[in-house]
Amino acid sequence: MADKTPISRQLSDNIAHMEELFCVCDDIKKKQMNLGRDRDVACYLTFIEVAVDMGNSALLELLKYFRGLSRKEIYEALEQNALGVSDATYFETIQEAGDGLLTGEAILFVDGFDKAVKIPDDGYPNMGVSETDSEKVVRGSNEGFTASVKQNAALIRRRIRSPKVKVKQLKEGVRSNTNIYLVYMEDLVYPGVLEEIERRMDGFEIDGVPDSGIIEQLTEEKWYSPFPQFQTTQRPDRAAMSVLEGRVVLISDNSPVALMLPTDYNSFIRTSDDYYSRWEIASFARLLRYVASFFAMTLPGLYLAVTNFHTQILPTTLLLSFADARAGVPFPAVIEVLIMELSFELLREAGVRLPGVMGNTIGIVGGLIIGQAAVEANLVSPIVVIVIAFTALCSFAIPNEEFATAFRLLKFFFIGVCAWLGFFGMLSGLLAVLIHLANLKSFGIPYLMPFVGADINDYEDERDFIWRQPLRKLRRRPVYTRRHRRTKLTFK
Amino acid sequence: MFSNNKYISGRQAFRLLTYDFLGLGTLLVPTVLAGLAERDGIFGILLGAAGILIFLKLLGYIVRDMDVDYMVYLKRRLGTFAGSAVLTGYLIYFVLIAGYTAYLFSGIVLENLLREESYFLVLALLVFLTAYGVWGGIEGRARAYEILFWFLMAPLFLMLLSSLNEIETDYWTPVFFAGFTDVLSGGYYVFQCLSLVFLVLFLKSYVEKTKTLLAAARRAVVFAGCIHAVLYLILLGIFGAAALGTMKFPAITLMSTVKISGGFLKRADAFMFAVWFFTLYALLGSTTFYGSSILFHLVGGGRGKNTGKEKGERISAVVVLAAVLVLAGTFYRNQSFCRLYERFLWYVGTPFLVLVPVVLAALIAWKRPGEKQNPYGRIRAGKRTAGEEKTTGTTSADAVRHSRKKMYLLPMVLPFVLISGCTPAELEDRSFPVEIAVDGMERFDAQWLDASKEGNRVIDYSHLKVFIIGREFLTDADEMEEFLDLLEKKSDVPRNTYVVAADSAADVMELSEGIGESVGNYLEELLENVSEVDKRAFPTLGMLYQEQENRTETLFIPYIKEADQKPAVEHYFAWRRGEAAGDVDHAAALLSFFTQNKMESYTLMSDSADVRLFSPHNTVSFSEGDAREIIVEVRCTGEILYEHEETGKSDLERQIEAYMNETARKMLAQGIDVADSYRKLGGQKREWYVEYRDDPAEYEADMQITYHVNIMWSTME
Repeated sequence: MADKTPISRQLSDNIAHMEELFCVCDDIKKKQMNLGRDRDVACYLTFIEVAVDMGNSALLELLKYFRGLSRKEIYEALEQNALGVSDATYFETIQEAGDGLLTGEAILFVDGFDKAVKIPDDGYPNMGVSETDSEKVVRGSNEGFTASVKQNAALIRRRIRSPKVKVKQLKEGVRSNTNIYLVYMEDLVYPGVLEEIERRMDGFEIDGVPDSGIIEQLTEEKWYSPFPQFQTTQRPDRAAMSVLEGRVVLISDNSPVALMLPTDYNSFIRTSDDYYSRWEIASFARLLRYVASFFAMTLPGLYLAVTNFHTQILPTTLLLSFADARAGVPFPAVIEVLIMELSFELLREAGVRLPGVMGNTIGIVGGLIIGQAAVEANLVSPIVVIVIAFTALCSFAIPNEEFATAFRLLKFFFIGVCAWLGFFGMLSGLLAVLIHLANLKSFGIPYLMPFVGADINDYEDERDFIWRQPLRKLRRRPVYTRRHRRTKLTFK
Repeated sequence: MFSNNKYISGRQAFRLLTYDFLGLGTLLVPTVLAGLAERDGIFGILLGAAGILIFLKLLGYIVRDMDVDYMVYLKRRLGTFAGSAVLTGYLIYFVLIAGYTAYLFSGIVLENLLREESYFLVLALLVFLTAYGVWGGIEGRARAYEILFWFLMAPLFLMLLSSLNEIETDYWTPVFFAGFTDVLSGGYYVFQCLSLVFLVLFLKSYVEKTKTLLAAARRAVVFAGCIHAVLYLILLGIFGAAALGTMKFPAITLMSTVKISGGFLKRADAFMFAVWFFTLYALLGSTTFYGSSILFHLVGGGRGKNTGKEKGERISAVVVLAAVLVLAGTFYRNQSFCRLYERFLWYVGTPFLVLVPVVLAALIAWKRPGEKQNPYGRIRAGKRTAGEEKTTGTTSADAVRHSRKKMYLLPMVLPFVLISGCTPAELEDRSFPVEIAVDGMERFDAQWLDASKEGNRVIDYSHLKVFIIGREFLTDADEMEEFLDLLEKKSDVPRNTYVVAADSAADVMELSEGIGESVGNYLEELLENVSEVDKRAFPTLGMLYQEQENRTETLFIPYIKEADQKPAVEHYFAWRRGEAAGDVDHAAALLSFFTQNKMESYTLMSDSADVRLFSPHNTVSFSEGDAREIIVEVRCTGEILYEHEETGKSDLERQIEAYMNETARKMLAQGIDVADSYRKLGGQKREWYVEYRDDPAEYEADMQITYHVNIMWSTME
């Protein structure tokens, strides 16, 4: 345990210590003021900006109260704990004061007084936070980010109450002057990653940044890749977890979507509740998601390859029922698949754009009624409807929307090559995608970690992979964390 | 940052080398070994692998001495001229291997996946994919192969495991039969396939620790050696040495015949083709990569100028791939070039690969005692500092240029679409015959070639279940040989199609009205579900193909006749060592199946009791007394179903024994050995094997057969 620094009677010393402890914490307000009837008592007030309600709180009452007292009366009130607010707590060390600050309450230092006062507040109130629409979990909080960058930073801070969490503020957009926060753990993050993201953000100038998606697209190294090189999330717990892994979370004002970097394939497949649930079910769910990500991309192509080129694969009875189902359909199988796929994408797009209830309705109308009608009208065969529906299910099972989009797009590539070259096309396509993924990196991390390059972290990352090992075995942080700082769990 | 350092791990090196060893090796080694050393081919594998491990020791000696890239090292050790000459030799070797791999790869794709597609389309696509992979650098390739490893190996092991119960261990014997030279030649061939281990010399500059690299190479050799050995034993046990020696790619054929129990898939060969797709691609990628690196070095690209290095390497890869394209085309157009290539590799290529390290090792040994200091200095390509390296990210302008180049590739692919040869017929436009009836070669030709039988549909034979052959045709040896040769070339006809005989195949086909379904489906279910005989006992097309070469077995083809307006197995027709050998009555055939442990439950009705024999563990041996004798020891469990008259169990055993002896001797008198013992000769009676090998027809004439029955009676009432 590090030595504790006692609070000095000299306010300047205390300010220096607090500034040092909370350096690069742009979400923490540090105000110096003079209180007392004659404005002759120097004070230092510090608090997390959105966690403390300045307009309606005990803090405001206290400040008003101090404004009416003389210097002597202020010290007497402090000594006698007669501040006019209940439950004020006194701290004797800087570290205790820091911890008090991180609980979401204001800390007041007064010149000549060798204690810090924690002025009670609600401490991270709900802040008008709503539930997230995407990334739903079975277990755990469903709290989501808001459009305010400050609230979002506080939501992360609420989950990691450590002065080592740093929040660096940047400005982007020459006209919009949008606040961008980089949230990271000082001792875990690779300085190179921070430098790189800042370098990339310095590398462009733009009018405005209405959403974090703009920054994502402008700072990606391989911009032509369908695979996102930043992980996005609307969940503060997810973002907090990635901060604890040594990653950087980028929050943009006016956007409820945070970017996490670096990232890899496995990170996109993981969900928050993978760690809240037991390892068996978490591993099973992950396996399902991996399989789903494969079939979301390949199933329609596989269907075409098998039925058009390699009929020997299927049992005869199944093959004949496929053939019977296709009897009367006027289009070649590839057109049939494309019609269904495009119809499905259309329904999806319509569903997203329409208000909540109507969006759901269009899905049901599209899925059930149009699908049924298309089969009855002999426009498509029932088996294709099943294939497309299953593919859609697979794409929904991928936890991250941006990541799932890559598979949705590649699905059309596979439909093309499989319709053209059958299983050879499928293998060639898989190889091309695999080579692309093998060459893809997110801030230096191979995208296929820990499928590949697991040796970089002594194969530790393989413990949290398709098979999520029991939590008690996950003792080390992933490769994103600075070397020699990777132990995250020890037993006493 | 993190891993952007052009280094690969030991695991990646192991997997890279394993792919290189398995790609061509698993396709070519079994056939060549079976042709050279037959059953002793396994010793060839052991010999070859052992030779490679010794060779690796030598390579290790050189690798430890290297402190610079192998290409630079060669020039420094041998001098610029000799070093360049050796590098040119390597370049030729790599281009030839790549060209042959591309040729074989395209051919296999065409044969197994896209029968009617253009060879050059497939070749061009493969070359394009190779270029894409090579341009990604060694790190990207290593990662791609690393991730694929268990995705390929696990299904391969599963398929090999599934094929174990189809192995006839008699096919493994006799051993120590081939000449020493043949085994040695086989060993040399295996050595040649594994000699790609010399790639460790080139890999040295990509793997941080020499020890790690050498350990990875050693593991790869042992792993590949084991795979070769297991695969060879399986193929030998399933196809037999003679047939194996004539098959083109037996490992792929194996995948089309093995069926995973309870599996949803009828055949998994198209999926299993992925194993060769990726391993051959890996070999193509490796050879192209090293070939282009050498070319780049030879034209002066490696002289420390970083400007345009990436561009230069890419241009070199394009040049090498153009040569590969031309070579693969040449191999395809003129098969004599393939033979020339094989001879080149045998007499020049492999000796060259061995000779260079030998010379280098001699030079090291010669110079070392006098060396006071390393004259070459220590030039390291860079040290792996995973995670701590300073960021060297490309600028966005670089990224744009880089990406733009890749975009230019798209128009290059589009013309390939235009040389696409055919469009497959839609599912509903195809007909899937499940049976074919043949009464004569002429009728077969007509049926095969005349699609009008199926109206306007394309005929797809991939779901063929039964071949019904008329008696007259079956007994015509010449026509049958021609028929089987023709059929074997049609790779879309499944090898596991059952073969049945009939007086008239056409008449059997007419029975479909009576049974309300196709005769093929009915017969397949009859043989697989109703019969107590293990389905492996019924001859398939594959078995007939094999017997054309092996000539060791007596097969019993079910003979179909009408019973109650339905097809039924009336008796069997013996197919002895690839030729028709006459009718066998039902009882004798069942005895044969039981004797060969191909029947789980065998019911006998004697005068005194009806008996069921099950769980057989029968053995066949030979003895030579006054006459040559086949001894069948019947060991099984017995159950009395119904006792006509009270008889002691030992008396009952004697009655059963007498029945079996009588039936077997009667059949042997007709020249049919119900124990199918001829194939066991190699393992058990070597001298008889030698004697009858040239005149097998005499075997049944010389033999007598005796059954010894030992039944463990079930006490359950």
